[in-house]
Amino acid sequence: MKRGLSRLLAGLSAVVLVGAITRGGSRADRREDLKTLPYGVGVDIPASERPVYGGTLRAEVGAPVSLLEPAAGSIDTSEAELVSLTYETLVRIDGRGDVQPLLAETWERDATMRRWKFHLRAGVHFQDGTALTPQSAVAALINADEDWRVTPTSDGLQIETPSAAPDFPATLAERKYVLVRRSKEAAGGTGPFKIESWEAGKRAVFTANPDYWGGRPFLDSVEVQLGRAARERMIDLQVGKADAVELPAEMARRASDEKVGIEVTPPVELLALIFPDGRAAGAGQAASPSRAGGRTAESEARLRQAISRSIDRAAIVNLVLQKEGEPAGGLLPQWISGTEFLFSSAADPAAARALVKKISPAATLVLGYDSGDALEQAVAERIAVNAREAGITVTSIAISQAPLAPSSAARAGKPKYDARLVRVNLVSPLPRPALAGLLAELSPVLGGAESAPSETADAAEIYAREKAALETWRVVPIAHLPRVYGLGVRVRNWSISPGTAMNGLPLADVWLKREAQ
Amino acid sequence: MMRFPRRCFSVTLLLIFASLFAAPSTAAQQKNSWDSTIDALGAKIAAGGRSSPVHLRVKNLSSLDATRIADFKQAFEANLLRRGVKLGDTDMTTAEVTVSENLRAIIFTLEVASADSRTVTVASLDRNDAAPATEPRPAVRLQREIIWSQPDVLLDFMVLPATPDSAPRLVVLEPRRVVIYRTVEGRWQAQESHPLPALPPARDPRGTLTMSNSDPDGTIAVDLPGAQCTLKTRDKLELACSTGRIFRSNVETDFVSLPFNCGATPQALLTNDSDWTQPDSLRVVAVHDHADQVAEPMAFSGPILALWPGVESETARVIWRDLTTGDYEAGIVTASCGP
Repeated sequence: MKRGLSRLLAGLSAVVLVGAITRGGSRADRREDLKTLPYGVGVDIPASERPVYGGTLRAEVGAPVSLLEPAAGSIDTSEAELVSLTYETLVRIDGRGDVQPLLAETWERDATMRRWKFHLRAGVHFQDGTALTPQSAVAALINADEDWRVTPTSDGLQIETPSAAPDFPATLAERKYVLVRRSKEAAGGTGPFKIESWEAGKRAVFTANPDYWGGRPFLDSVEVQLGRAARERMIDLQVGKADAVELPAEMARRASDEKVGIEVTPPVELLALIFPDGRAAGAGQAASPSRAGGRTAESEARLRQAISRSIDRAAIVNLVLQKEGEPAGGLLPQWISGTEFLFSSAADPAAARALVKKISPAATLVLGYDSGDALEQAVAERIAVNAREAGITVTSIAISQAPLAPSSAARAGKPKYDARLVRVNLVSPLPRPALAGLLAELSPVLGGAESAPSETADAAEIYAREKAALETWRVVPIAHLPRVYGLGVRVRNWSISPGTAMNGLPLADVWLKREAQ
Repeated sequence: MMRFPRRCFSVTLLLIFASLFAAPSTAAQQKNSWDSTIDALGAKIAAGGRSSPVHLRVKNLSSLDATRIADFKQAFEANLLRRGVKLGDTDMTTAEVTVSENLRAIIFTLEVASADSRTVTVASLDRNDAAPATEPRPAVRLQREIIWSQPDVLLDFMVLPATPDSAPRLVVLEPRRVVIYRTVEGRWQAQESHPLPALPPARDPRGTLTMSNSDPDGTIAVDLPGAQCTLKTRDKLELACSTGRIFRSNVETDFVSLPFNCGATPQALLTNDSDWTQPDSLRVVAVHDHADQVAEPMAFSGPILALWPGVESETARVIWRDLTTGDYEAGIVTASCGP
């Protein structure tokens, strides 16, 4: 019962690079053992330390997650992190950006690259004990995309896409394509942990799935406190009441100064300023003449451009984010696209002032930020300062969280802002699916300026699509943010490599250091 | 006892895809090479038909090393000269190539700027295709020393070197006991046997011996599924065990990393891909994003049942079963850099 060579090599390369292995092993049935090897590179494990089974990991997150709804298109960061504990996709992206087997062991496609067959891993069960079958896999994915035709095969499923999709497996690695078995009682997945209890917005308990196909996780359970304030999370970690907590990026430096162990991912979130299309959304000139001030479309475009040029993104990253994150000129961070350097993120106050002179009547703007987000508030205030120096009067106001695509009822009312800050999660470490996800999320704002990258998009096309989306200045990237985790002293084998940064919490491979006897 | 055949998913996938690629492919699937990328970028500059010199700059934002970037610049300049493009230090026209990367690709971005225009061309190259064509292959040599052989199941062994008070000793772990051997006239002879706790019978018995380097008592940890024991080896030999529902807590694999490098990349010792009905072999592989075999494999007379790092850093303990005799064999394999 061996895993494939690819799996072996993944573990092997990690272990060799870490230089931490102290033991070889018996030849029989080491399927689970290979799973336990650290996949990340540069993981610091003392040579004498080996995995330990048992214990409860106490985690705390900021969002008051009310329900784990894995297949939702746009979900909160904390919720997305938790989904991976319970639910799995057919394939996953590894640390090198390659697609690797997960619930599908192998896959193949026809010559047209439109029909893809995925062969399911044998012996996988949902957490209610039901076997993963071609029928249950089809049921989970049949409504995932209206353009797909999903049918069962003898040992898996076939997905037919409307056009050639040579990199289709990379799309299926996105979290929104997890396989969920829904029953009247609950929804369940095939992942390493089961949901034991869930108090909406307060507390969730996950227990180890002893029958997990990849081997029982080391931890017995994971207890997650939901909706904890950042300060409380930090204190709980410091006093030993928590083992792993989400930290805002801007707290990473302080945590580090206070000798708290932190792990920082590459940037996986876009912080941007968006200018909803007033005419398209019914909230622009007509609905808010006092704010738009009767400006022409040309003047409005100049205003957006002037704001973008006035923003000192480097200062925002250095001062507000405490150097955790990167100034953003493009939608995708450099590590994902490789071409972000082509989009300038530098402030150009002189150019901004020149643009402002051409705006009539006077350049004024109401800027909204999430009332529950201290980072957004601080960034909004910096933007207001920068804009004022360029001659633009910006008033920042707190607003409640609202979707980018307001409902028809919401559109009927008067909007409170001309622009607002948003944070958008990146869904993949690969440029094509990552950009497609961002553009889909931002489409209500872009109002048709965006065009999703084709399935065959190369680096040149990705750059061109991104450039086209930014040329309207309706989306102004501010910064790319990492995810920061504070880790307690007991936590071992926490490993997230760049390629796996969107795969969720790596808790299946984490163990807790045994307390001294 | 049967060993299950392994499945190499990557190889399977490769074969599947190789067979399917026989079909007509689209432009997106035509892979670029290092040379064709240089040629395409050169063509972009030459297409301008400019007669004035071009100032070429190359900037590296990628993980490619300086030598590889110098290779690129040299080849790119040669390509431009072949196309009749004059190179110079003038700032009339500048061509800046930025070499960057994402997870899968090395990206070459060409920005050609003159007084009245600026064009951007982006080309990407699979990471594997951006690596130098040839890398010096390290040479590793494997040597084997057979330590012990017995008809009964043998899980692990350890040789304790001689001390001022004691001759060398051999500790052999079997499923139900630990046996200590001492050398008598150059041969190992059983001296003591210590029973292990009775555990449920296993079709695949496992167990390991681990010596703590820092323990002054020379204590050996004996790990079994369902029991943990310690064997004190200084003075009187004592075995103490505790039992219970103990999950296996050892990282067990069928490879051993070698903490030395005959070359630039880390290396590992790897068993072959066969079940318990076939003779096995040990290979040394260099680990990049894939495994390259870097030495002649060492053949064994049967399946390798266990592979552990040895006491010396470049050694490994190997246990295998001779298919002709049915005996369990224990040996030490040493790797060294050499021809």
